[in-house]
Amino acid sequence: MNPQLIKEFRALVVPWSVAILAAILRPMGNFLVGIHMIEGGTFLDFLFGIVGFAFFLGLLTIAAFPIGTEFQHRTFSLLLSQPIARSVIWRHKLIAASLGMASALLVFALSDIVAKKGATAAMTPNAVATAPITTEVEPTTVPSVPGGMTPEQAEMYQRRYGVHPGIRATQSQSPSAAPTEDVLSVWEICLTAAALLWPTLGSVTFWTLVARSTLGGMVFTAFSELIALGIVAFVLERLGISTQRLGFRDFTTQPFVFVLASIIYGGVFFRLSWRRFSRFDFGQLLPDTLAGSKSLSAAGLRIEILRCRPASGLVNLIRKEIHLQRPVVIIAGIMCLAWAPAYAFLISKTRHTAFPEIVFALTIGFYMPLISFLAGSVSLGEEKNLGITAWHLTFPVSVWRQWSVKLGVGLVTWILLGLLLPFGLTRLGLAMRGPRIFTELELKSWLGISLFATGVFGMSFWAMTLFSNTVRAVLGSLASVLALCSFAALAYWIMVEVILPNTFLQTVLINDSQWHGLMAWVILGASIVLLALVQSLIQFGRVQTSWKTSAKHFCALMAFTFTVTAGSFFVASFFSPTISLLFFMLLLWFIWRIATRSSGFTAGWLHR
Amino acid sequence: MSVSESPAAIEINGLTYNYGRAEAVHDLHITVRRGCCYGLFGRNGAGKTTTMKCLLNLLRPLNGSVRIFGLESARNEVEVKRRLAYVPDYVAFYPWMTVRETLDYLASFRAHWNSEIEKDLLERFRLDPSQRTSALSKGQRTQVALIAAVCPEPELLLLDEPTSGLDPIVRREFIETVIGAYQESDPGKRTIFVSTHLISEFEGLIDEFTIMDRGKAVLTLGADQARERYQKICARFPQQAPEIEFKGALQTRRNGRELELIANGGSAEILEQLRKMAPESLTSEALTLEEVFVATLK
Repeated sequence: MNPQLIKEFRALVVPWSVAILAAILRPMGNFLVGIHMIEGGTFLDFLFGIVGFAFFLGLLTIAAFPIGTEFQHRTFSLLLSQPIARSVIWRHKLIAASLGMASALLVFALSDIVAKKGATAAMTPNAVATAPITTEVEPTTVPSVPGGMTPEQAEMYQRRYGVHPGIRATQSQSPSAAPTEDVLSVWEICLTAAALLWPTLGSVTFWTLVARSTLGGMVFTAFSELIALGIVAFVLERLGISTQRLGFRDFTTQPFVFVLASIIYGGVFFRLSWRRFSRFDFGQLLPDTLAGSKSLSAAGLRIEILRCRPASGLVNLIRKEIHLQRPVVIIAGIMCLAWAPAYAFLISKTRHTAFPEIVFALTIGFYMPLISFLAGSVSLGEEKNLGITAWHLTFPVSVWRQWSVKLGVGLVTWILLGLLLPFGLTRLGLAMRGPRIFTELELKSWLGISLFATGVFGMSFWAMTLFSNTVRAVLGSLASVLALCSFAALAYWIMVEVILPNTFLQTVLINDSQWHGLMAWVILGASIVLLALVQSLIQFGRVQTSWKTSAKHFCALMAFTFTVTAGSFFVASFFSPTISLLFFMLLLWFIWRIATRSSGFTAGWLHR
Repeated sequence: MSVSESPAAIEINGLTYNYGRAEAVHDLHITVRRGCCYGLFGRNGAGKTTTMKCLLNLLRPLNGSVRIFGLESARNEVEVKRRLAYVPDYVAFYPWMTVRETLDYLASFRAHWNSEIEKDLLERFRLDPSQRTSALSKGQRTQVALIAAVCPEPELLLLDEPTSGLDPIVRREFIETVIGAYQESDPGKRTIFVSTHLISEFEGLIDEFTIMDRGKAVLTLGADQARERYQKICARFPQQAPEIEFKGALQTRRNGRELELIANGGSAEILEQLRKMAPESLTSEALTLEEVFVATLK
């Protein structure tokens, strides 16, 4: 193969792997829910959302990387100075990106078909007989005692939870079948894939060239595509064509309009991006930055309060960190801009427009996960991109202090812009009598999502200390979050199905939908994130992180997740909150031991 | 405690560091006395920057120990960093800051900052304090980094390829005036540890040096000792130069009637031997440090 093409494909290995993993996981999850091997629920839906986000982000990264890596590695000037036409370079990049995206979409489609067929085959009458009872039981019926549970245990269970253990969750309560409803048909998938590929490729290339960064290209593309979708929906409504709910299914009922819009959108952006690429020059850059890379935090408003002063190093550190969070602030600004027309629609009582719904979906499905990943990683990523990290560590400020300021500012940014801002925007929309979808996220759900996303923020901070740039850190943390959830699920499954089959524990865990689970999840999540943060503190002071070190930290985290999941489920199921708290303290002690033993450096920092 | 009794500025014992399978530094031993200017010379990839980073606790050595002023830099992180300043090989700043802001930012971490020196150096280097650092050239960024390193008047100055990117005028000014003045302002206390392959630039400043090759110390000597030990001997003969092997000669080059030798320690014997051959002319001169470097690694 052409070595230039090989180089383009080589750059796509990481995002392509993430997209493929997500493409397989989503249908597999649906399959497991479909055959009742795992139970559905809000949390599982949220996890599916994360997987969907990972797939979409993987596709965007594949599209943005061929151009973005040239900026990131500062190789654009080297590439463009070679005796080869720009059109050939352009073609190579487009071939690599389109093949990468198409193959990921193909894997997704095939996995979806296989999972759907597998679930149907598994739910034949014989299979149904062995599956857990999911139909509603008449209140007057005397429920049978589940296998392995003595009548005393059943009574104890009923006293504790007020429900007989024989009564399983009703079909309506258990959303286990819900995800399978969203499965698209083959032609819908193909249409969606084609409609995604063409405009995304054109749009990402253009925006990456404009922003001169992979991340900028991805973010602007996601926003511009979804805004375009909103505009299409609005135009359709004006034409009297109904789009009652957001989703490709609704748009595929109007395939002609949908495909036409994609072709026009993609065509315009392809034209714009080729124009920009063919005329791309380094004229505005100084000789030293001829490679074309551009820091996202380079320009901006000169706010007096953020100007560094000769005294108070700690405040200067905070000021510097706020500056480094600038990309997150920009994305939050764009988000607010997207909400402005949505409010206008709500105020003008354009009741049936899908635009506010699209903006809401954009907020929950894209903005919140993105900010949770970026707020943790963008600051250190920017410093690594600028090449300042090592030098900054030689200042007479402890690594511990630098690390904690970075984490603190990132956390505050996440809470303000990632949690409170979307919450406020949605509530404001609700106050303006926004669509029913706005109420779907109740306060309790917000709390659950917030806790989970804060964990994701912690994991992205962890990933940034291990990876060399922001995009890799975001993809790495996505993969790590998915792997951690998978390990936790595996531990749960082993506990319930293998180690303690048909016992009281199984009954408690499966039947108790209101189970003390929240407590266990919080203990579990907090412990894992805490260990990850300790690992990040150890790595923060190092300028060189080998893949072996990253793998070691990753494996330690997985092993910890597996062990602690099993332990915390057991403790939280059987013991009082005080014992649970003691268990948590034991975990903290364990993490502390790891921190002080794995590196003598950490002990020195922490004791200071 | 007097300077002679106090611990060495830098003590490196058996330092080993690997990047994966590639050995970057192997069993390195270096002791830098307080108040001296120590050079770490080597070709590209010899392990100089890795050694610097291990000194600064930016890399964790696989083996061996590193001490600065008798303190382990890993355990006494801030105390060590308070007493030193570092100029990296690749200098970068926060692009939204001006030169003034950058210097203010760096000064805020220091207990002491000499504003007089700062003002003087800004003028000498013709730097505009209101200019954004993103608009500075590579050489100008190095100048700002040098100002930031000198102004806190630290006890130890760690310079990693400090003159790369500087124009010849600024380079000379920097080495002779800035570094010289820095060390002379408090003689016996101010130590400089400089890693470079542009050895001729630091010829007059270096007191001791180590030449590294493929991660190992090949030669450690005092500059004066080196000049005494390494001699270039040139002899011109009435006829073809004799084809004799000279004991103690590192290199021998014959060009018709001329013979050129690089002697390593045995220059007196070689000179005596050559005199017996009745050359037309016979000269001997000390090698420059750069020539010692080239002769050692060739």
